[in-house]
Amino acid sequence: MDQNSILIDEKKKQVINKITGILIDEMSKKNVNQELGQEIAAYILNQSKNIKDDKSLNDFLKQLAEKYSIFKLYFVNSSLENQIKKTDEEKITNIKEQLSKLANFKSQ
Amino acid sequence: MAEAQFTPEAAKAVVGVVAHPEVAVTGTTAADRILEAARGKHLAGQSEDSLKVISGEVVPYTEKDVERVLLWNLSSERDATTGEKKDPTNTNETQRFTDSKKLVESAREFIETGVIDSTLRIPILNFLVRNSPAVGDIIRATASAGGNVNDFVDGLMKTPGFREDLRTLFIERLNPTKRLTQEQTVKNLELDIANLQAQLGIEVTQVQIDAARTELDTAKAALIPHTADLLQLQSKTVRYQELTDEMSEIKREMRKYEGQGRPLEAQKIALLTEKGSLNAATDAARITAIDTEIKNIEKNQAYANYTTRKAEITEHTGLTSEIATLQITLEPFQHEITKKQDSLNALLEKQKSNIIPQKKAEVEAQINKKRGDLADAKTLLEAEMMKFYQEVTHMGQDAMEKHLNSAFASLKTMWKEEATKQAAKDTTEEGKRAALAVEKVQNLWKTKTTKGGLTFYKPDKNKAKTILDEAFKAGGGENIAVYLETKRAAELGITTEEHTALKEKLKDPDFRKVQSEGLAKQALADYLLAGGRLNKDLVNSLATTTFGKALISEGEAALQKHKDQIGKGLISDGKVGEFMKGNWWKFGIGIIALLILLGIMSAVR
Repeated sequence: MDQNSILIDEKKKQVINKITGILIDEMSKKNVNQELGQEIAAYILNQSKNIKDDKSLNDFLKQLAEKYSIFKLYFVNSSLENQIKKTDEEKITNIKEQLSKLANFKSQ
Repeated sequence: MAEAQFTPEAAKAVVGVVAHPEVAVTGTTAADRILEAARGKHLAGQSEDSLKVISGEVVPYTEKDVERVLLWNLSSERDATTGEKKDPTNTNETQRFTDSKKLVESAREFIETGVIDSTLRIPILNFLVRNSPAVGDIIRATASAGGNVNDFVDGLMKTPGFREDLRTLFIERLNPTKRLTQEQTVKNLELDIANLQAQLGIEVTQVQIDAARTELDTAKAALIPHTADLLQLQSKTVRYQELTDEMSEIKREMRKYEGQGRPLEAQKIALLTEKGSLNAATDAARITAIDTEIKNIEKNQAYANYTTRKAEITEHTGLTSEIATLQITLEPFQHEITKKQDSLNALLEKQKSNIIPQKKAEVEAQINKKRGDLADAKTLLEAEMMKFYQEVTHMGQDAMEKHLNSAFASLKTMWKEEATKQAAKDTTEEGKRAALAVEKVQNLWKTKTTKGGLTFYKPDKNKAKTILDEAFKAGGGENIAVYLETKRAAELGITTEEHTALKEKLKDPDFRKVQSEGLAKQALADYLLAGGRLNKDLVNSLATTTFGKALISEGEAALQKHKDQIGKGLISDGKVGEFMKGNWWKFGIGIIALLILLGIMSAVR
């Protein structure tokens, strides 16, 4: 198993753990009845098998949130977090590139 | 002698380990149990397992949980140290425990993997043959014709919904917090009785005292043959005591006269020795002289004192061993007498603290009362164990009963909804009246009962069959319409106005067809729900009449849609038409499959 697979498995595990917690909480609060809970759990077990990479993980979460509203908030927060992380990474890359250009300019 | 003493401590020992406080059976539902187990697994980081519990893929209890609840409810054996329940030793309990464990393992296997084994199947088959009018005849006919009954039962078990019904019962009936409520009552009563007996146990009776006296007399009698020894021992002991008391004086005097006494003693011995060697005839003068000297010595006060004291010391020394010899002979007899005397004394002392007769009577009455309560509690406990055993071992058949009933009930609801929807289209007063009439006509095959001011209508299979037979006549549902038109309002259980509205509405061909067939379908559903038999006659009617054929066509459509969900024993390859050819029971299998399927599918729409 390569590094990427280990990483995605770990992410998948965290996501499943989180959404299981949400499902249990909502069932405890009686916002989700046993029948619906059964359906959601079966859906998660079945669909999570297709998670292979970041994209399929995101697709899985998106579809889950679209199908069952109890996961919407988690999906939105998770997407925002990813977006912020991505933006930060882009900014860092830009700054690195500018610094590199500046260094090249000085040495000329 | 008094019997072994009963004390509260001894009572506890007699009763054994006092049961731990039992957790009463809580009113938690299967849903609560599932959620609790799912939460536990989630907290342990086993989220996928948690989802499996929620989705129904697995039962929420571990094998250990289940074994524990079986032990708690089927065994009366406890570990003396920990108080935990352990495997039963009683034959009946062992049998129940083993049966239950086997069935539970089979049920779990079926729920989690879909595998059906004979342990789970056989009770369901027996139940269906004995108690299910819907499939009993079909199974019997299948078996007589050499058909595969197991496949049929497996097919029923694989119809959608049965697994879930079984899982729900598994969760409810094997709830790990389930305990026998009477067990603590039994233990408490046993302890109460032992404590009360402890109060009676310290009483000393006159019989016990008389017995102790007799034993003492016997011990004394055993000493009589040794009276001479006893007297000797007594006189020697007295003499020994006297000499002991005077010994210091004796020794002092002996020492005082020893200076004079010892030489005189030696002289006397020498004289006596010489005298012994002399000849009385020839040495008479010397003998006379020696006698005179000896007399003179003996007259000497110092000599007399010395020899007397010396003899007393010798006597004292001799008495020690003489007394010891006598004591060795007499001691066992004397010891026995002392022991018996002590016992008697102890009893006499205890007798002083005996409870008074009135108190004794009260305690005895309490014991008798508690014994009665204990017998009742034990009976209830046994009944509780039996009930639990039955609940566990009947899980499969109860799930099947529920499954069939809910399928028929859903079928009835679905058919009713179809008819009601059609009847509700006409929102005029007349239309509403006609719809009400159709509703009320359904009471024709029900028995009216009144309870607490409320009226109930219970389906009657025989009455339902009468209506159903109308539909089975040539013409099918149309016969029902004619029946409604030709009967009087009172015979149909409706008002004249409602009858008029109904007859008017029956002129609408759509209403006529849907409502008349709807009534026949309701009668069929109620017939099955009320325990009507799906026998050869009914199967023939369903297979050959217009109404029956229409029902089968409806069922076939549903079957083709969901054939993957049905076991092969119920329908082969979904080809109902072909399957239904031949023996009536094959047809019956097809029909029951269709009815169950229609009901189940209507419930999950």
